[in-house]
Amino acid sequence: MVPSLFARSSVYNPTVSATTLGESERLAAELGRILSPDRVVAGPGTLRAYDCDAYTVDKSRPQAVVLPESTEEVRKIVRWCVERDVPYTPRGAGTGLSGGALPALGGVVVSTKRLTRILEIDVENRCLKAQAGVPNKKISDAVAEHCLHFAPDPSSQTVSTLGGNIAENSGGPHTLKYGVTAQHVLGVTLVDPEGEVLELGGKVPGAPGYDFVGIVVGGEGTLGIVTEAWVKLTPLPKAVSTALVAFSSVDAAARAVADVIASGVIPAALELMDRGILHALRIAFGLEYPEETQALLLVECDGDPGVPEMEMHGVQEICRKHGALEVRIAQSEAERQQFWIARKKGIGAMGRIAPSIVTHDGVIPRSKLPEMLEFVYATAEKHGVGVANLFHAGDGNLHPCFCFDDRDPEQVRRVVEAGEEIMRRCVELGGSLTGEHGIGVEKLDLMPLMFSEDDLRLQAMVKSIFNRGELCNPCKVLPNQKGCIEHKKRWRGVAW
Amino acid sequence: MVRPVDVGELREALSRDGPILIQGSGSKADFLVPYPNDDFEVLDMTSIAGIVELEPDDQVVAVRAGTQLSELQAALGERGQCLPLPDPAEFGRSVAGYPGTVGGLVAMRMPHALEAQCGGPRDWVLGLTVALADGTLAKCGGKAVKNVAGYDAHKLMTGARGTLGVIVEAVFRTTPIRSLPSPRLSIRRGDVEGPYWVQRTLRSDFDAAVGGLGEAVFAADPESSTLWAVVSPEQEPARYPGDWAIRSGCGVRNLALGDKLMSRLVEHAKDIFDAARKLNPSAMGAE
Repeated sequence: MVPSLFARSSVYNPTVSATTLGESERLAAELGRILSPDRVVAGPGTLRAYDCDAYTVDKSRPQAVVLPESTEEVRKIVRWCVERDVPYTPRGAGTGLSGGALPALGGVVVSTKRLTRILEIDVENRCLKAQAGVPNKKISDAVAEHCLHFAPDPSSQTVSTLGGNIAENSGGPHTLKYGVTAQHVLGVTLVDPEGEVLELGGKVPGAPGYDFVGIVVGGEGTLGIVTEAWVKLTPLPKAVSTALVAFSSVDAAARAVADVIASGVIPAALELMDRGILHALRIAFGLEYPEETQALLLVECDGDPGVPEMEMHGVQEICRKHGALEVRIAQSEAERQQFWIARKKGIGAMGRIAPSIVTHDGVIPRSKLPEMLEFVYATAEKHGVGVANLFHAGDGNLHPCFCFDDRDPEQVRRVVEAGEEIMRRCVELGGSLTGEHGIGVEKLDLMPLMFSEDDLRLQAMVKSIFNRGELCNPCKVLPNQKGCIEHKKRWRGVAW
Repeated sequence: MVRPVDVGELREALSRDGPILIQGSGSKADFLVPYPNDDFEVLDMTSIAGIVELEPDDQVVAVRAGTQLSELQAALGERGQCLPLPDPAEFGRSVAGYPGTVGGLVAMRMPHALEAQCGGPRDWVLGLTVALADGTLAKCGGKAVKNVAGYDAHKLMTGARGTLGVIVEAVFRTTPIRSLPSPRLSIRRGDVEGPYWVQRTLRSDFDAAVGGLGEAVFAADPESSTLWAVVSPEQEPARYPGDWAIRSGCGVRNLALGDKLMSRLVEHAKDIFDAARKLNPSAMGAE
């Protein structure tokens, strides 16, 4: 019989235990008996690395981090947590941008870092089974020789994991044409919040019954821990045409995007970068553009030979109608890759020129892009913060990127306020609070902007199919959960 | 039979005790598992109809559940848009997903012959307004083409055969007609009368499945590995690993979830959404 660390009847108290070093060590020793001790991380120094993900405004330290290597080990850990009333939070690569991997009430972080095996590749049936910790890009790499790929391509794809992509229902530039993660996950192995292993879905899509996979994908890791998944593999396009289009105003670029969509062409990707991003790219990577350039569009069309060229011709015409300064079409794969560097390294380049950056995520109807961008600039100016935009314009998925100094509480406050105003506007325009980053803890308080009490009650019903307790990734997605409100101030730390 | 003309009347209908059978045009009624007796009220949704919002430039449409799919397609077509389903007049109603009302399209989530290329209702539904068993009206999802705010209750409702809530309004992502592909059917004999068998297998088993049913197969879509066949209620066609099948005209055997875990979770979800078993009580099949 395992000695209990927390009496079952007592309420788990993270504020006390998080500061009690002894407890953290005892917890780690216990967990070390389930896994091997070298796969349990404890000690204040290392645990600090797990107190947030790529959303750094809110922080909360876990008491231990475990590194399971199989579904069975995850099951044992979850059972252990449930028996002792210890909260637990799954974590992939920690690239999430809404705090989904924040151990909000302390407890155990279940890292998928060691769940990195590709278990089965079924080329004929165009699907693959992998463990949750496999980085997104590794999946596509593993099947490239068969001219297949895993279509969701978040910008973090070299590191972000399949499990994280599933939790957040990740997007990426090419989801405009190929769909988000939900469209590419066939089945999952889920260790549910009570520690039972559930196999949901399977290799053949569309089976009758409730779409539980559709709920788990995008469940932000609050419905259990996905340890393995069957994903759909998509044939690589036979031909690709990629262009960079320079505009003398961001408004013209945004109008061109709205017109391309309205014309009925669905490019594989349609990305917009504004002056702020171009400035950062020039400094960081020495990338050059025509002098008067205020915005760049990256357009990619793909399909059977001949199709991309035809589509690109139409796109070009629309861009020229909107006063494009220059349309450069990649003449080689090398040049195409170079175009994509601008898109993929944009946020990194921002990071090099500002002490801190925070990337927001909102969605608006595509026809509202020009008016929304104007609002973003005005809001940033009103609050005195720098802003740059690089985003999935084709989906209407904005990513305003604020630069600030997170050591200055006043600046943090202004950035948060500006972000909230922008989100409010997105919802007013008929859009969404988030297109791909998730609600996490970041947007908890904004949920009522988009959903009524009854709407939220419906979501709580959905959640309760899998998770009725308060231990599995607590305090995320739904606002005002029991036992969470009083902890919010603590996450914010010095800034509030 | 009760036919509400607005949400108020719908909620009133739901406030009464006793099981109800939600009905649209009845185009897919033969696929449901019939209710064991006549002790239920039919809730006819066809008067809660009409397009609420059509934004061709954003490729989004909001439409009430009782709207006929043919009317929606016609209205979208005038603006160069569509829901990417095969044309029933050209390809037959079976491979077109048995077109009826919008509510039926979403609730039944029938396979169709453009699914591999264009996805199905699961992929097009951006948001729903549903009336829950207690009459509460709730929205889920939204109108944005990309949206991960909150739990995707609309995914759970899509394909739930009306057992978790009554679909009142749906928001769809539409497809430009100019980018609509053609179905690539390997067998296309047009619709046939009689009880149907619809089966989807792995690609690797598809030829065997089609061959095994022989002349009974009247449509086959190798892209999604789906076949449509006329199969009498007594017949039990061969099954393949991981496949699934639904049928019509075979009573309680129309739907077999096949999987114990799925059956258990369906019951569990039903306990949460409709503990009194008021909404389409038999539609998900018997244990």
